[in-house]
Amino acid sequence: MATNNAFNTYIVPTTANEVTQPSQPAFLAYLGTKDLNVTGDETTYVLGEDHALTQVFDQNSDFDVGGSGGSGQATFTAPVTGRYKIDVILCAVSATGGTREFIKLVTSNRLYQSTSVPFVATAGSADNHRNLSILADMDAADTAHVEYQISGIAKIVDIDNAPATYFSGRLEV
Amino acid sequence: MATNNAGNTYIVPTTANEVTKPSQPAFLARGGAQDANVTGNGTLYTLGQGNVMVEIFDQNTDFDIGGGGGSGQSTLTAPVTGRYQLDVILAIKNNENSTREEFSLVTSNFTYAEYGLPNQATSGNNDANINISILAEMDAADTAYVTYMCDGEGADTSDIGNTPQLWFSGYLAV
Repeated sequence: MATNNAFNTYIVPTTANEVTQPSQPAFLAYLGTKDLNVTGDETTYVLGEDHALTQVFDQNSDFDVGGSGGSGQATFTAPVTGRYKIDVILCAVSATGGTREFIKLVTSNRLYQSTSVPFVATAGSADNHRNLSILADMDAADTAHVEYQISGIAKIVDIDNAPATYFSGRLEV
Repeated sequence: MATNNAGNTYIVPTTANEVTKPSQPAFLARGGAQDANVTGNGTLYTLGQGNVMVEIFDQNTDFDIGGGGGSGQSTLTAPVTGRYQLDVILAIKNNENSTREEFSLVTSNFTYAEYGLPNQATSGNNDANINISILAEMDAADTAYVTYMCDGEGADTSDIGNTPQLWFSGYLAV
């Protein structure tokens, strides 16, 4: 059984009534290669500015993986006006001595920001994790990307690759 | 085309099969103004007890923005039994000396909490964020709201910050 819009299936229940939406805008991507020396001196790092992200899935093909050879930032573009659940996990390495950090989810409508004094990464435990999750309002053609910034030290902070840095989103309502 | 329950549209697919649910309970609210001197000496702060939050959207009108002149807390009331995805981003200011914090998403069925050593804001960089995300089970008429407490300042001199660092969102997921 399937529910469709007269052209295509958009909700697919199984006989046990589990529901999937294989055409719903949804993506999951991770940083496959570490981005080196991208911030620390208050430089704003944009996820995907150097290495492209690796897509795990991209239903509806709305996600740009970025990469220095391409668009230069990992970007989700909303195909339709709606409310999008967006989640970010980002890991900074070599942040010891950093005094302040920002992780930002930048959408066309709004800025969602988490600020803190960095968890001090020690020599033996050199990782500093941040995360953001929100239900964001986006209009058709609006974009969303991720920025990270840390200050107080030299430009020696890296952004770690998977399993430490992920970006995902989906149209929810 | 829309799928409906004989009375109202509840799923609206486009011709490209993107699905929106314009009647699904869902809200996004941001901090309206900083709440000053609300904790720091073990006092429990409830989001919305001072300044009201500002709604970005509130599909189905289930969210109360709170405010000292109103209900006194920003609260989602579940209109129907289900699983609700809830996300909070909270900013704390002036907690340079705090030694312990308790951050809770309080629902009628469960409290989802983060306890620990605060990420202390320094005098020159006086912001510290804490986040929580959970898929919560709620029965019809159950409520969800947010509390925060830090201790060790010697007085209630810590503040709760403002946009873009204070957000509360949620929706009926399944």
